[in-house]
Amino acid sequence: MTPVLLLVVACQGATPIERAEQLYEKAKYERALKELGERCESGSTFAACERLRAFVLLALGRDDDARAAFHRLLVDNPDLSLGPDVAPKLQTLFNNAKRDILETQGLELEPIDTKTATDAWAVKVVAPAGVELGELKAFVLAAADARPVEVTLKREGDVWVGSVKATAGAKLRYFLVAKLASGVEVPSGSESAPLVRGLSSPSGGGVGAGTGVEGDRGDTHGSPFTGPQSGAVTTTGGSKPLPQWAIWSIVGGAVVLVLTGVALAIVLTRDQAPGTVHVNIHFSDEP
Amino acid sequence: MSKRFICVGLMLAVGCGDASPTAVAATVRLDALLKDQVRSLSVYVLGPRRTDGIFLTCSNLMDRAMAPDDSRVEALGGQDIAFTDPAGRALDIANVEPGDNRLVYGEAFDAGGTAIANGCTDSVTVAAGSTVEVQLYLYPL
Repeated sequence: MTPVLLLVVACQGATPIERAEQLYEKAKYERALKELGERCESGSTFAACERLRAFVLLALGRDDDARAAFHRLLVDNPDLSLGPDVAPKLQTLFNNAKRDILETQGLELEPIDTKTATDAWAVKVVAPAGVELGELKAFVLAAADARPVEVTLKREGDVWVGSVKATAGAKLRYFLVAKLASGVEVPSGSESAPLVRGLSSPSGGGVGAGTGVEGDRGDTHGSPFTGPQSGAVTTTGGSKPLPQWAIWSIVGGAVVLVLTGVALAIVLTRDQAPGTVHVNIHFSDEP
Repeated sequence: MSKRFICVGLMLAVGCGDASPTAVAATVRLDALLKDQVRSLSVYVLGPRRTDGIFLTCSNLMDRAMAPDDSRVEALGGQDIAFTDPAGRALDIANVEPGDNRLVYGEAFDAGGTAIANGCTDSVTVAAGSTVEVQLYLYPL
């Protein structure tokens, strides 16, 4: 009686996430989902909640909803990982969701041709391959203290296009907000840390000539995940590439591991190899 | 009276005749008889400990207190062969799990399948991937 009472008290004292986790481990997925509620509250438990929600939803066969949960989990923490001992299907879904977030966070405006129009400039964003965007908006910061001007871009094939009002200066400060098919909004840049597009003219003229603008991510010709090249501009998300020494260290470590494994396998196999007994038969007369 | 005389006469004949060659002949005849009678051999390589934890010894096997095919015996290899060469025989038992204190036990059978001789060698070490040579002496039962 007493243990049961203690168990009940313990269960009542657990948080909804802890209770949901217990239910998930008992394969009571519907009840676990109910325990998690309609949405995860922001705060210290948000990541654990969305992570568990994704696990539960995938267990229920709701792959798209699980992916959306991973999107919500990763949008503010794109460097998260699931850790070891995770089912391959979960890991694959998580990796795909992470790729969606990282690629979307790397979006930026293509170079702007400022010569073709004087009052409005055409802007475009190349859609990330393999990521389904439901909506894409650009927010242009005309002045440092001005409110951002929202520009809704329209999809035309592989690019999203729109127009912004021409402004004076050599740079266009902006940030993008893309809505994934899962409904999760993913920003690229922000009002406090905007992206910067140097204004250029392919025909050679135009405002500011457009090239070599410091801090312009569009002028770096690097991976969209490499982040800003100077301290003047910061962007959210994006993973830094590993330095060369780290890559070679990993490669070297992997080679050593493989060679060690092969050597161990050879030694262990040799030690377990069967032997042969050669028996010479002799007869003796005396019992 | 005449019967007693005949017996004494025979005893004198044996005692005063070729007694040593008779004994030698008897020995040779016994050896040859064992080899002639053997028609098949079964040779086993056995582990030193039974499945019930009790050590297996050559004494147990030679006394036939424990059969080599008993389920409690750890059989590591074996071979049954027809005995066609009375002059001697050697055989290889392959795929034996390596280890120490192996026992090699053999039994010889006559044409009727009756065991007529057995022998055992203990403390045999089988090294991985190599061949160990063992001398197995069979004694009449």
